Amino acid sequence: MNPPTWGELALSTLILSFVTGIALLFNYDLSKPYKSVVAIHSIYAYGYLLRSLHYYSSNLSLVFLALHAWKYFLKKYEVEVSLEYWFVGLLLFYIIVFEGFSGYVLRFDIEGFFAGRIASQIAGKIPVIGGFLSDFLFNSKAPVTFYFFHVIILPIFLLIFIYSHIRWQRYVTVEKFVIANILPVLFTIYPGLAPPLSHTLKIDPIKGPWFFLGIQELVYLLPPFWGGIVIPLVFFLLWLIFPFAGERGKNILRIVLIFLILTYALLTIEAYFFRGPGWRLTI
Amino acid sequence: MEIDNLKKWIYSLIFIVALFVSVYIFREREEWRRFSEKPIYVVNLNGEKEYCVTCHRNVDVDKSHPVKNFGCTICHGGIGESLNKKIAHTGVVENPARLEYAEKSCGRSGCHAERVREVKRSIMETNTGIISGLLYQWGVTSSPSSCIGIDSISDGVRWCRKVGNKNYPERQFRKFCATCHINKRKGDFRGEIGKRGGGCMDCHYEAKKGHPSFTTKIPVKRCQLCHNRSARTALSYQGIYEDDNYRTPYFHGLQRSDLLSSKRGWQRLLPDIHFEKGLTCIDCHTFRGTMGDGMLHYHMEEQIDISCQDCHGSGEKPPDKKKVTSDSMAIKLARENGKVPLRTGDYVAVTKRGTEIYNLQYRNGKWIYFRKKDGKMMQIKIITGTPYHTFRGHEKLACSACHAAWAPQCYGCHDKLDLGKSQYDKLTMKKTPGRWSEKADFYRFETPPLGVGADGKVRPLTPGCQVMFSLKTTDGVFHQLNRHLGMAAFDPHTTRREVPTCAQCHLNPYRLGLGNGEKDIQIPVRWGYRYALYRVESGDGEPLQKFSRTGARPFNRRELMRIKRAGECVICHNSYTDPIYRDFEKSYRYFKTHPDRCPAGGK
Amino acid sequence: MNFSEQRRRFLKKLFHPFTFLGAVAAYITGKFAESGRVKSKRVIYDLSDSHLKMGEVKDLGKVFLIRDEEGLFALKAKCTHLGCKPIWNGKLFHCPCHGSEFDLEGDVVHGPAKRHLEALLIKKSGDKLIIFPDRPAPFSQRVKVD
Repeated sequence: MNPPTWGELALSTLILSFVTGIALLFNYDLSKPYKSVVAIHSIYAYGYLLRSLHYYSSNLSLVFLALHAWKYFLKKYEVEVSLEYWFVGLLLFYIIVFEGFSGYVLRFDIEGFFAGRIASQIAGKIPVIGGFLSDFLFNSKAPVTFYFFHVIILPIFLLIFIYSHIRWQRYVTVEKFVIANILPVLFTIYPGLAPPLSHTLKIDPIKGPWFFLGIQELVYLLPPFWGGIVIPLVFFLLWLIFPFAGERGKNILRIVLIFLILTYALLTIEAYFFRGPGWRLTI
Repeated sequence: MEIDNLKKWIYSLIFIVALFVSVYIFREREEWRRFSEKPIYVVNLNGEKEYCVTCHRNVDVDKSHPVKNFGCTICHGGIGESLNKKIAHTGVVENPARLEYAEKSCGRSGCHAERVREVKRSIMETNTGIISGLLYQWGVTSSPSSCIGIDSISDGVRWCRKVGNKNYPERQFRKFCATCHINKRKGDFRGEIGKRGGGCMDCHYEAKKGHPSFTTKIPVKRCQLCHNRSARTALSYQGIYEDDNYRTPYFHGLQRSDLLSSKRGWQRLLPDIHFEKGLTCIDCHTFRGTMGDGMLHYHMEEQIDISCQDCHGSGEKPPDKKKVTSDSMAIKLARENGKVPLRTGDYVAVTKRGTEIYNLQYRNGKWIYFRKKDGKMMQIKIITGTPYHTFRGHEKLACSACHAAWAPQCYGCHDKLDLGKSQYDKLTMKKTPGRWSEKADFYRFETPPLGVGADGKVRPLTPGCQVMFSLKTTDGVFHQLNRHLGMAAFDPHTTRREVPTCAQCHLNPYRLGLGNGEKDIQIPVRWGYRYALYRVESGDGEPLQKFSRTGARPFNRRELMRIKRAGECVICHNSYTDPIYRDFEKSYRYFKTHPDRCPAGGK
Repeated sequence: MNFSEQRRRFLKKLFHPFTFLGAVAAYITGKFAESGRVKSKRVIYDLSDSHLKMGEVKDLGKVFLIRDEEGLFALKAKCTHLGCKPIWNGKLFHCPCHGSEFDLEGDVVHGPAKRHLEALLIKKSGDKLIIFPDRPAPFSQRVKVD
């Protein structure tokens, strides 16, 4: 057996996330989203296990995906990676990021609720369609919207694009599946690593999902349009044009993108450790 | 199997084992670890499982609100599905009977919705009567009826504004009186004040180990928490008379130690006969009168739903009766009471406002009264047609004019405001400068003076209030300020069967409000008042003090003359059935023209 | 490929560890989903223990087993007002919480309750009656008894 590649690990964790997500569907109640998550967490048989596996396998898949992209980003191939792989891969990454985010919102505790609200406000800053988007995303029927995206719409695109990306060749074996998912299982066991669930009262400050902490910091430092729309868009476009650039272009782009990624990582660390109540700098 | 497959099997087995180990370990930790047994739940009224009872074991409320069927979150809120303390207690309310929350708990749809709305506008919550009376007494308003309450509130017709903090009576109200309203926070102070309040629980509270239960058989002691001041209704009803605090009689040589709140001494006098017979306040005062009818009222008599005639009838006609239907309030109350028998189609008495008195029933041609606390069947005297209640000349007497054996009279209320000290404003719960204190001149119980109430009926009078106000400024100087003397007509709740003799009213100037005459020695000269405090009118029938209601007054000159005229005859003609009273005008003229027919001599 | 080879490959696929993992996943999911339902256990009554007389009511905890002229039927022992358990006093079911009363058939006599007591599905299996506290009875269901 070859050691599993990052892509295979990502796929394995995604599969676990998918399966546990289906199981969780049975007891998630759209009419009372927060209460049903609490019930899943505390009451139902294996609820905690399923939720913990779902949370950690999804987050791990993001990590593995980032490492997977990094590998292809750095490599110099004799054979060109086909454009189709690149684009679909890029799309897949963003789809999975939004899957994770919508899952975060579906908790509808105070953090999830505000995450959804902030996202819709940022989306509202997009010119022309902004107003429609923000109303569409976050209104009194927000649980339904996010639920449909998380459970049907994005998974359908996921399935289509994964097929297009890897043609379902046998990338996943039992061994690789277990290796990829041993971490979520371990996290379930380890006390103190419960999947996050807070209450519905005020918390100060409210911090979004870890992969969006950098954006949260950006929209604080810059106006929301620039920090929340323009910069992520630029990042996306840079990745998009990467395969078209020539040799020198690729090197320049590599430097730029690595710089951006490092900045984002620094902002994330700063937001996680050094932001206190009122989003003020605290040690 | 090939080696390849074996490896797969080993891997998958490792995975499964790790899964179940994690489940097992999880069950041992966090929320589940706390409990040696499985967490327990009840299925609440909404059909949801809630786990509050896992920690809050052995909590039950009462027979009508069993936790097994209601759950806890129905009233108290919170997240019943969580075993995590913080999440479970999100939004939990400790006393959901407070009127701010009561709409969601007691008043939720399907339960007691109308009552919550009514209680919020009830006079025991708005205190409009107290505030109006105070403002009028102190001369701030020219009418004793103002729509000013503890909070601004409207009933669709009237809008009452919130009491301010600008003048002396308002300030006195906030620091003295404002603890006697239904939505006061329970337990905010020590002693009797802390026991008052709590929203619906102010009255319906029944202490027991653990969670309090709700009762409709409200004992007198519960009403006494507030109604032991001012008219002292709950005290008089039980035969308790607050006296000058001598703390006698001695018990085994020691002073009385069982004092009223604020360390007031008392004596035992005759209780109300209804109390003697085992009736409590709620045996007469209906739910409509106590909780209100949803409309705002200026004074209590506009809200009170019961009168003596509703049960005992009047001289002219017996109590009104009504047939009970299956969905009526009477049936519901009787069923809840459990001791008073009542079936659809029975006849019950009705108050003037139309409320059914479910425990006064007409069976087989007789009126039967059922005591609410145990359903005991009792005889009730119907006064229709009796000579003393159809007596010509006594039409304007209210029942309490004769039947009130005594009335607590607290004469001369010396109010002092010390600006150098501070005291809690009971509405904002903040200590602010200005400390009020109050002491009486003297207390009396016997033969309260009589006067005419706002409805034209004669009733006993009691001081209400005779304010003599002093101010101590921050430089330590005392300023004797104004006095406002006032009397109030009321029903003392000291009903007895025995009544005074004719002479005790007709020939007693004190009883008629004239005090002890010109030679009276109890005169508060320092306050510039030339008469005794219990004297309400000059000999010409002019009122000497304010009265607490528009239209209330002492006897006027014409009434005094007529009472005196009858008084000349009552010494010998002291029976209700005496023929001279059949047409007293005629008899008096005869007496004047035939002086030889009467030993009193026709003068 | 001949049949035995096909069979071998099929069996290999069938007993693949992934199938096993899938079975475990299905088990966990099943238990998880079922714990979300609030279900009541069936009540089993053995007729050979004692026959009910006409007009007799047997208290089986969460259900009442009753016999009338037409046969046996079961009522849910839950008052339709706020859920307390009614008490049979020989003539009527009387709810101790708010006083609702129901007759032998479960119809409301009076009380805050407005709906009648729920009739439950009974299945006869030999000498045993199986009562399902969660499933309503078909219209006027009666179990004939001699």
